[in-house]
Amino acid sequence: MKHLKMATEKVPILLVITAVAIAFVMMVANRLVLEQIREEAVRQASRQQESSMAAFWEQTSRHGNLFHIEDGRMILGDYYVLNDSNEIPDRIFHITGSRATIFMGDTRIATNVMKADGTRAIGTRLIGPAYDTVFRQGMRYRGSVDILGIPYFTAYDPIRDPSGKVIGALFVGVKQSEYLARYNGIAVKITAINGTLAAIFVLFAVLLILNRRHSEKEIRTQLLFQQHLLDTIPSPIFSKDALGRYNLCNKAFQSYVGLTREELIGKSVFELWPEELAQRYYDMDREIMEATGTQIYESQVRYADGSLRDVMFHKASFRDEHGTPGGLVGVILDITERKAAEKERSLMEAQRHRSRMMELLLIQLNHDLNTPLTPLFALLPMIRRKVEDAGVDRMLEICQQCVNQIQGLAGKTFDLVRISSDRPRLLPVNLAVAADSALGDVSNALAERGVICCNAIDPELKVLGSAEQLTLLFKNLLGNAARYAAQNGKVVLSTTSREDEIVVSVRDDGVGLDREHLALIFDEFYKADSARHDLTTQGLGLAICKRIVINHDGMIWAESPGPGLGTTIFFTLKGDSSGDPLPVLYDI
Amino acid sequence: MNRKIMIVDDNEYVRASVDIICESGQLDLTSAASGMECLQRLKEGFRGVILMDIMMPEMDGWDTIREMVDRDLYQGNIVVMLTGMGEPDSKMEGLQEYVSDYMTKPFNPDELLDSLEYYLTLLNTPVDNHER
Repeated sequence: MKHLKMATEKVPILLVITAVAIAFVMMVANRLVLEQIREEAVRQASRQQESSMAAFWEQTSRHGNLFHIEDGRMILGDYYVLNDSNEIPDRIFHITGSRATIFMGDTRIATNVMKADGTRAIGTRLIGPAYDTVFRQGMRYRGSVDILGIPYFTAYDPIRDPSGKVIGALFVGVKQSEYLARYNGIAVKITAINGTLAAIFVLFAVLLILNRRHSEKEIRTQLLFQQHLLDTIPSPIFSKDALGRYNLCNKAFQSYVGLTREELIGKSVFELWPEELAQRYYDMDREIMEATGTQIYESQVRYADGSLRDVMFHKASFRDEHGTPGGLVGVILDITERKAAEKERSLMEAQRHRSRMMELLLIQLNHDLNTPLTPLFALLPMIRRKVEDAGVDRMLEICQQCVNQIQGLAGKTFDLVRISSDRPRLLPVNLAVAADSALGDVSNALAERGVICCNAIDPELKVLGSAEQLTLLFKNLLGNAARYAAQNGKVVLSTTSREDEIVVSVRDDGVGLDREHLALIFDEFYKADSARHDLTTQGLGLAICKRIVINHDGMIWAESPGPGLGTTIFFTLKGDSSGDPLPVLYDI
Repeated sequence: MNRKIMIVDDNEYVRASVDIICESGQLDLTSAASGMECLQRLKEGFRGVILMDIMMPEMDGWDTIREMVDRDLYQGNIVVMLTGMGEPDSKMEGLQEYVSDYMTKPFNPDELLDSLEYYLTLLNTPVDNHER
């Protein structure tokens, strides 16, 4: 950015200098050309005076060739008096355009040189270098002379009497101002044209500078915006020039390396990091600069704040229009969280896979257990029918009970796996019907101990749940009740509403539970002491119940006034509000 | 009167115990150790109540029913599936209509005999209400 600024500052100065130089050269050239034109004009004026003088002499020769002074008058030839004889100078003026004068001595005696008042300058005198040359040295004079204060291109020739004495002079001349008027016109035009050109050139330079200033401002704004944009991006971003020096970075990069922008920009890796590390970075950068496309690689880096992070480097070389590597750009993506999430996900995936495997294993086990159980289960009753020995029958009865227990265990384990593996879709279910269905399954067990079951659930009551799982829930609870209710006791099923929840209770009048057992009974394979040696239970019934209630987003708990005072199991279910009469909608 | 029963199960002891139960109920039992064997017996002209195990190697119970239907061997039989609990049921789609009942393993001999008697009665009733 500094280099760019310097470059943009230099350019206008150069431009101004060039513009002024060109204008100056134009002015000098102008001057030289005009000088030459003027010299040419002066030469032309001299030539004109020469020919005017020749014409003058030719005119005088018509009156005679000899001059002399007689009685204070200048006589040409025998009689032609030149004093006040203005017609000769006037003719010269008409022919050549030059003013003409005849001097007698140094005094003008015939002339068309005018005084300021517009009268002829008769009687005025010749002075200056012309006088000296003509009268003192007796030579002719050519050059510039001020006549009555006005500069003229002139020619003076001495007039000699027959003895050769200088007695007067002939003069021809043009006012320099008149003669150079044309030249001045040309000079003004050329100067004007050149001046306009120079002005246009300078104006152009100024416009160029203004335009450049505007572009610079835009570039600065853009750079500022770009930096702001980069600083807003939370991923570290940097770029390096062809020599591996940092020339751009954002705030995230600064905090990544723990250095300020000023400390980074313009520095190479060798100036920033230890030799060995710098060399490695340098080699990697070289490789990237020589390659095409973006290089992406994962790495683990330690941020300046000490945190070790998983990152993904995206690096690419950038090339100028000729394809020469001009440096590289890099972005560092922090993927620590993504990595952690991926790890978590794969762990969960593995966990799910394990659960699924376990489930499949249990299903297989259940099947494999049931297959050998089938002959045992089918044949034992038949064998017992054929046995008459009471002792053998007793042994077979024990075998029968063991088989029952194995079968019960397999069934319950499978129930637990099934209800744990998939969450049921909750649909409106008639609760009383589910309870009745379970009652049908356990009716034999209840009848064996003379237990009466009273289903006091509202036959219309609907809850959200899985009919299959709710039936299984009641079956387990009623099975327990059948086992632990008092002989010829009573089990009551009832419900109460609590806000949008239904609280279902299954109350028996049996052995009851003390406080310490109340919380434990829902654990897998837990058996209350009295049931510990009961071969007909598996200790899974209430664990299954708990799982089913959890599947229904409900709670399950047990209450008992104490041992021998009966137990009540409570659980909550979501009421089905869809069965409520629909609110009446009125058209307004 | 048709008193023919076929047990299709890969477990030899299951087949043997069903044999004993059927013998005690004076039923005429045919044993098949695989789905293929079941189809063979059907081809040979067996018609009666078929107790079909679901989980069998190579050709399971559902595959066997499909083959029975495809080979026109289903007519005149009643199929009762023998299931362990929780066996995969994804294959039963579209085949349930060919199954009259499910019996969970292990089963009680009396329950089995009661079921078999019931379906034999159904099979021997002139009204073809069991045919689908």
